[in-house]
Amino acid sequence: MLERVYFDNIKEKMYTGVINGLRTYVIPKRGYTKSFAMLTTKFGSNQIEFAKKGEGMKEYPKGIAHFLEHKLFEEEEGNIFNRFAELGASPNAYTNSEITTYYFTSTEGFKENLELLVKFVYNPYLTEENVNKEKGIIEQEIRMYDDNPGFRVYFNALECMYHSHPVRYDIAGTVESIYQITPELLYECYNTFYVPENMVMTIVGDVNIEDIEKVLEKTVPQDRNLADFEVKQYSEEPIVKERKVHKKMGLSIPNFIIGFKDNPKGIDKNNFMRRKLQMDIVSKLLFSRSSSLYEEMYSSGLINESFSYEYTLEADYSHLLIGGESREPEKVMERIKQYIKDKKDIVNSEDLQRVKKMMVGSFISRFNNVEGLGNFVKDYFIRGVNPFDYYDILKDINEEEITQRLQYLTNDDRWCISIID
Amino acid sequence: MDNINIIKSEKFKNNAISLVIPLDLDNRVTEYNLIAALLKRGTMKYPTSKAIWEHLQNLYGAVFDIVVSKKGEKLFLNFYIQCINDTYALEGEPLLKEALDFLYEVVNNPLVTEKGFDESYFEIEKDNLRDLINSRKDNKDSYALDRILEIITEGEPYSIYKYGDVEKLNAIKNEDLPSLWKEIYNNNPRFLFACGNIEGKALGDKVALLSNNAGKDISIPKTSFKNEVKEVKELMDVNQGKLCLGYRTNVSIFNGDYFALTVMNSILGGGTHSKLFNEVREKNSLAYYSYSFIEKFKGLLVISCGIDSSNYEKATTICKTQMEEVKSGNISKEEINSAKKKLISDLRTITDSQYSYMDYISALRAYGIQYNIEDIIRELEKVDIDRVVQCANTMELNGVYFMTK
Repeated sequence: MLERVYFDNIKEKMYTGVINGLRTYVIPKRGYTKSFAMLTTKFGSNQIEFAKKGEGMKEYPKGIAHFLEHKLFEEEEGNIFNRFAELGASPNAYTNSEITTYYFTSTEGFKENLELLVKFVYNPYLTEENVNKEKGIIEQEIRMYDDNPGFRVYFNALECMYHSHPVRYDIAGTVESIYQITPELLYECYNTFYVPENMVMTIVGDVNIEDIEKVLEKTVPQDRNLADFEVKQYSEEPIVKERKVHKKMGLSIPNFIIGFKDNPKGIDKNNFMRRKLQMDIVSKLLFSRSSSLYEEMYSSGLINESFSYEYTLEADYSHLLIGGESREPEKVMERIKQYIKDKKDIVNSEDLQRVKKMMVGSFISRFNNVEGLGNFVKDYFIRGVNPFDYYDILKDINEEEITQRLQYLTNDDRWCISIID
Repeated sequence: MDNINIIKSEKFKNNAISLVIPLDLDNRVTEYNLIAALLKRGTMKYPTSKAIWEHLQNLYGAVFDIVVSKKGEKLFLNFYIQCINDTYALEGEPLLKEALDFLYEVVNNPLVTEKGFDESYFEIEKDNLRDLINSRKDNKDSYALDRILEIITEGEPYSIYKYGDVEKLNAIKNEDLPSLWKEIYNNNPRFLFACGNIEGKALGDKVALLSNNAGKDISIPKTSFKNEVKEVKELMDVNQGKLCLGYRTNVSIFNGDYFALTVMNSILGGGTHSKLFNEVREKNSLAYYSYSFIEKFKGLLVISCGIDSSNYEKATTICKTQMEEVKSGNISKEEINSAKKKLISDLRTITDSQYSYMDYISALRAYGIQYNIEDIIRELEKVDIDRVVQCANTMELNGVYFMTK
């Protein structure tokens, strides 16, 4: 049964519990017309090598998690899209490096749609014929991304940064790798990762808790046990593989991503949120529009409004990426590195307070967006972290911790740059 | 009719304000874009980006932007600001008032002298706008869509690129811009929208000052048959071919059966329930994406898909066939029901986002249309297959665009 937890400081509540092995989180949002449910498994494009108990490590074709995502929409009686459409809902899914997630939004018939979601994810129907049919579709998806400079500059940066970790490969795999995929390989992955214990259900909207409990009790399968399996862990060297990668795509203005390879050693679910917030603060102090560095680079025409940054943290890899458009991307990197060296020892407390204030506001604002909120919380819950800790940990972070992270950024051989022009 | 619209809703934790100024899409589009960029750079009170963003961050990370968009034959400037409701401010700061004051400052006190905007800002923003215009081809998907729309509206105001053009940009004189901004600001209607847990009184007098009833006659974009099919093939270094088919609908939100047009498009290519998704992607594995959309103010319909270049003939035929299927009434009950449900659900969903809600309604109001979302839903529910077929038969193919290696 789901239990209620209150978060008084932001006037929100959540219902949480485990139903048939599936960790479930429901955030009611009264008055919203749209309801959102998301079923997520801890299986993404990075999990391409794993061993079942008693067996050796086995490597799977790149892109298999994403391929499986496409195929789960297939049922014996055809694709599941039409069944959702009859109920007025829009289903979709995506795969990233760490997870695959299936979701729908609906404005009516939430209960029926939820039942459909659970049923189709736990009911694979893979045949030689329908697996082969999908290859042409995914090939076009890969080619579409090949023509997308934003996407290419990103994966080139990761390829440049990592020596062996599969985060360096495209999520969808390659045209060659997807043609090696068979129903048998897909079933092996499915049976390993698509068990309730390895998954999370997040629901946001104007929903009825009892209905949700009933649907999940009835539809989440109880006959699938979490098998003993081990996913390959990668130990990356601290330094980047290459300092620079450059590709030509005939762009009118170069796109770049500057990457810093961080060290996630010692990070587990207990300090995950803290590290993430520390780095969010550091990036905002350095790169947000109120920073002197931004003002200086923008005013001199070195960067434009597309300038942005993002921090990623996982158990065996972690990085800060800074991207945008510039005529002189390498100069941007040099300027950033120099600025960090100049600023590393002092954090202005007024700046820190302002950035924290801004983060309080953006955390609260997340509760205005049903889908955005569902997505945000699932990224924490699937990693065993409570997103509602955000508020208190943020308040608690001090100048010393920030200085420590800043100083770490001065490691010269952890930086790289990816340029497309 | 007052151009102030307050959408009171208790479900949001934020308050949001949009000041929308619809401008004619004409040969001054480049100037309009440059002015929008310059207004964002500094005001008398906050003369630098740093000053602006420090202020906004202190308002708990208020979101602020000036969004430029093309809807029909108008260019919309949307001055948007959003911040958390005062009840969440840790020290009781009056955030809504601050947000309105800031918006007022941006439009009324730009950083200008008789010589124009700040000279260095002018130069940088000119460079940025030039890059923006020139980088149009860098995003192949959006470029392909822009091109097909241009091809089928050649010579009409609709074909003007929303960010303007480089030649005009190079000729702009800084000293002309402040008076142009005044002219735009004073002589066009300005729609002020506020959405959130807001009482009208709490907004104070700034609201009335920001809105403007100055009316021009609303010009309705012309829609007309051309009786020709222009075929354009553009060679680019791409891995995937982009195929677009452009139709004149001869129906728009101003004339003809707009509600049937909306349902028709949904059946044809408005989602995973549609003919284009099921035929081009699911049955023939030709594409990852395959869909259609309509431009409701101008009366245009575009079919778009990304395919292997060798499948050009096959994909074109299948796309055209889907339109023929709709024209001949080959539509099942499930198809029309799913299409209507999807449309209605999408419309209701708009009310969950403050930005989308104000954006959607302001466009209607700027064109003098008084529908609310529920009015549109009521009309959509009445559409039947006969009306869809009748509407489909006014579609005429006017252009085919193919981007290929």
